[in-house]
Amino acid sequence: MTGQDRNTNSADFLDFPGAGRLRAAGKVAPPSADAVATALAAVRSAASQAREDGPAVELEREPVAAIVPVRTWRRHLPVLVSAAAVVAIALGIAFQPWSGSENVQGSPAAEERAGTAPYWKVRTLQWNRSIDKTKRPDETYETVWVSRSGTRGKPGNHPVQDYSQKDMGGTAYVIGDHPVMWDDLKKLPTEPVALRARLVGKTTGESAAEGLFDGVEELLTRSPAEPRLRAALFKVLTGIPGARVTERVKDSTGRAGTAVELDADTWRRQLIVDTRAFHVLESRDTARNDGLPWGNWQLRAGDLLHRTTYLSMGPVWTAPELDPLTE
Amino acid sequence: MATDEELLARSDTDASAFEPLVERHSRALHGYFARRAPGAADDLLAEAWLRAYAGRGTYDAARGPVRAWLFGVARNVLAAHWRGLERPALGAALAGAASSDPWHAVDQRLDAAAIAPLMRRTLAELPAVERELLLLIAWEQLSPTEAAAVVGVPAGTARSRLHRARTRLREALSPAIPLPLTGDLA
Repeated sequence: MTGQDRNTNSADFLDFPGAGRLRAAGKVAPPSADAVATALAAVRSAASQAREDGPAVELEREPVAAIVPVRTWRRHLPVLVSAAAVVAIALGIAFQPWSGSENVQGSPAAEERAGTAPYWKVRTLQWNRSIDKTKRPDETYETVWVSRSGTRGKPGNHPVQDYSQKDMGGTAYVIGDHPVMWDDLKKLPTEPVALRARLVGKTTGESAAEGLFDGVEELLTRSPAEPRLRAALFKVLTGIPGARVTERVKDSTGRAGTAVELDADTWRRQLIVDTRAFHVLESRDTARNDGLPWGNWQLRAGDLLHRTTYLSMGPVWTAPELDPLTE
Repeated sequence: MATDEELLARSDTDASAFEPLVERHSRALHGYFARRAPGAADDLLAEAWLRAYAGRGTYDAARGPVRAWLFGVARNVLAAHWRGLERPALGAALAGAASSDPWHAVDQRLDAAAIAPLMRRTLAELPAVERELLLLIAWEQLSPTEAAAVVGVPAGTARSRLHRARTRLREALSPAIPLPLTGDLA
């Protein structure tokens, strides 16, 4: 199709009164340089992630465990991370190959470090199975901006709302019964055993394990934790008794990561983690056994109940104002 | 300069070959989103490129140029976006029938641009596919064949639908012209 064909044909079909004004109504401003840069970064990260399926290196000098498709991950086994992540950790920089880090004019790159920017922005797509067999699953996009003092969120096309926990005096990540404040993040130990002790003390048992699983997901997704802390959180996650680790699992968008699974009651919890940046790609809850009732469903083992896909996350310098009606 | 098709083919083994496509087509794709989902265009742009990259192996040159394929990817991303937004708003009763047609956002744009109510009403009454084809050629400057590839209908079908849409718009929007008096009655 040549340009001439294009113009001739299109002009023919746009030969009606008012077509010029209709065309003019479609004029929009070009995308910002940041928007294009973010798109380009997403593509680069996807490309590098594909390459990342190559050799992995040890984070610690411990006996190397053979990488097998599925295995039970125990404490004291090595955490295998990519070379890129090790470099990022060594340099102390926020390594976000696929996230939507938003630059602001005049803010030097160094200031974009996760712990410096005032907001942590997370965009998700949530999938929920309906309790009614005749209805389609609910899918909702949501963007949240977490800051030291609180959280704002924009679910779907609803106005920006205040999600802050009013009784916590600021942003808190609750791990079991133990809150970690935004300002505490930089004080958390980055040695996994000490970190686990700080997060849940000596508490053990299934509910403690699930609380730790949830808490680590919260910290990896909604906090500006620095790379060293992220690496330690991942090791705490894989060290939860009963956790199983599977390499090279793809999320619903095709991104590959390391899956960590934990059975909890009638559910099977799963987090897929990008082990270069220790960002969560997706979390899924599936039925653990056949016959689990869910509304008028009789689920089969492996049926999906809930999924949150983390489309992007990263530090940003601005957040939208609250809608006056929701304040 | 390498063509889009050459770059896409090369990106199968050299991921960096994909990057010029992002630079070439981001403006057009962002415009597509900005007209139909203002406020979410930046996020949708990144998502569309991510999906295009992941699905680059599915491109079939026989079905149209890369540019049309990219708009097809963008259309799917937009549809998922609107499905995600509409379902909670409509409530559970309508959950199964949620539409991914971004007409409401488009109509708001036309209203803001002071497009005559009669034209807006006529566009609203067009079948969604006819309206979509028309806007793809008016706003995205796609050829009818490219627009057909985006929407997923044969090119001939797209042409007949565009003819029909044009006829309806002409009938609705043309001022009444008195029949010329000729011959004995003149």
